[in-house]
Amino acid sequence: MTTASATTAPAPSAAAVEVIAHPAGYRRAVRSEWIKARSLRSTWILVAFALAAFVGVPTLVVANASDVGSSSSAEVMGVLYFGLDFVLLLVAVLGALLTTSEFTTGMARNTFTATPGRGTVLAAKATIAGLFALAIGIVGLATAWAVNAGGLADLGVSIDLGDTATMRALLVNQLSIVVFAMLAVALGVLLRSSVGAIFTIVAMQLILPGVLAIVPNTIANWVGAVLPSAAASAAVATEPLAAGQIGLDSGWGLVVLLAWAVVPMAGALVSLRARDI
Amino acid sequence: MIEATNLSKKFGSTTAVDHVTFAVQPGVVTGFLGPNGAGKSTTMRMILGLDRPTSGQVTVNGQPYAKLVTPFKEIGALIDAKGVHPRRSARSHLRAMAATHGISDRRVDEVLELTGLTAVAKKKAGGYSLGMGQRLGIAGALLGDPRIVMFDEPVNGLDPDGVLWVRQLARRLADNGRTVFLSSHLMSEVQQTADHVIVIGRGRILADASLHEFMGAYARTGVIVTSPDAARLAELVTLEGGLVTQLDHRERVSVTGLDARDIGRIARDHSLWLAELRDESTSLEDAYMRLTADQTDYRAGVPGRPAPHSRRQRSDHRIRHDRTRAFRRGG
Ligand SMILES: Nc1ncnc2c1ncn2[C@@H]1O[C@H](COP(=O)(O)OP(=O)(O)OP(=O)(O)O)[C@@H](O)[C@H]1O
Ligand SMILES: [Mg+2]
Repeated sequence: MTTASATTAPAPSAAAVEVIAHPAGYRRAVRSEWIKARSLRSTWILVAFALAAFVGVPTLVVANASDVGSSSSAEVMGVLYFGLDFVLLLVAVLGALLTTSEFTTGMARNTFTATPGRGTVLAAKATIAGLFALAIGIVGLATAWAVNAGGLADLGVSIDLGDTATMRALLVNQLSIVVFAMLAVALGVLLRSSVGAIFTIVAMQLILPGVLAIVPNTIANWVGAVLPSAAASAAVATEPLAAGQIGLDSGWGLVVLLAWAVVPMAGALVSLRARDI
Repeated sequence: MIEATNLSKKFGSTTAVDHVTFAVQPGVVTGFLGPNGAGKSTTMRMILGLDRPTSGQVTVNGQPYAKLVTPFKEIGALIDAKGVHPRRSARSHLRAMAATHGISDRRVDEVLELTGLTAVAKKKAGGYSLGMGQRLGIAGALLGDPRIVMFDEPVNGLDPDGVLWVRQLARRLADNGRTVFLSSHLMSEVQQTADHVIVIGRGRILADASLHEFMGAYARTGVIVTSPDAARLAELVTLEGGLVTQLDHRERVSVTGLDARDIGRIARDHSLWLAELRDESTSLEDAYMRLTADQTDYRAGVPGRPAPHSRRQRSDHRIRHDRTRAFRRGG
């Protein structure tokens, strides 16, 4: 190690040439967050896993299916999202780590010193998390589709993007990936703990839906029906709800899904502004 | 310039900072001194807008931190050497920081060079020693070539070379007209670097003075005498108005109230044998210990009993006055 050379170098003072520094704002904060995200290997591992799940699960299903009967275009589109639950979890972990790692490592002090606007930093982080989610969604879907186009054709089914229900399924599912990224960023800010944020999402995705759907309690059933994944499913549903069935119709499904991004994010902003870093 | 007015911070029932008012001036090195838990870091976090004051306010070059448009031009701070993602390289870390102000990669490489981290710039920060972490923190603070630098315990974990380097850096920056604000819980550290000291204890400002004034107000001078005739000499010295304190050895005493010249004369007049006679100034460390004796939150002591209030008597905590002076500027 040559750290000793530091002291043999002339004692530093002001920079020889004037240092150009520009006002710190949203655009530069986004650039900074981008450098931070891409300089961590964990980011790319999560992206790779998310893409692998996105493409792998439908590919396995299609490869092993023999006869899918007469499926609608929207249902076939649904097949391409068979890996979505995994993708959502992985994107959530990515989004959560983007914020929690700042607090757990103490980096947050540097971050908020560099960009004093707390809302500005949150917006920058949400932007980066959202862009990752968007990219994973687009690349994942395109790849899954390309890889399985032949297989689906062999099964005698196809996807028609001109079909409204199909397009709706595509947009809502892509949107849900971004919503999960936002939710995770917000939870990360609210809880400041990786374990806490990830556990909350896992609970909402894997534990609560099963439990809340079966308990004989209307309130619990309703809570289960407004969980993010349930809201997303409701939003893509083509059949109306059966009479007396607890659940959201597709319009409300979309609203509730969006609320899962907006409300936690608003809470995160309030918390971030109120609390010490 | 940093100006705090009536600044307070409470964490629940703990008052970390209690109505402090002070100003940190440009062109000098200001030491921010206080025992563990005195409120130094909390004050610094409030300066940076990270902790919200419970009351009062603090400005950086006339503005609250949150209002600064280009913070890195105004103030560069090292507050937590470990506050870096352990799996990010030093260079990526600095590039991310620089990006918030559109500062060039060239400047990033410059501060890496300046802090001696060039060789390890691509290594993950988690593998750095505490001293290297400090250097990385300092590198980050210097990115925008700021008008104020503020370092919290900058020499923590640095080797002697590193300590010297920080002192020289602080000195050069101050000579350059910049505001330099360094915290430490060690007086010995500050007295070799600072021109001005602000002492904090239990969240309150105990002293805010130039090092010179501080020394005048709190340091005591005395004469160390070693003599086989110490007992007889002590009597005579006391008769002439000196105050004698027995030191570690039967033949060694410390005298205040008379100078070495007087003591030498007394010895000669009475044919007493002097083995040692030298001026000794209590170091600032001593003055500081006395000042903060009641202010330490976390003092070692016998459990269940109040910690002793007596100041340290051992002479190895003392530094000769003249050496202190020489060290302070020369570095
Ligand atoms: N986030 C916090 N929550 C609760 N109490 C805190 C917090 N930060 C500091 N304190 C308390 O405030 C007081 C001042 O702490 P601070 O870290 O500012 O002291 P310091 O002078 O920097 O001490 P040191 O020399 O040990 O670094 C201490 O009693 C500490 O326990
Ligand atoms: Mg501290």
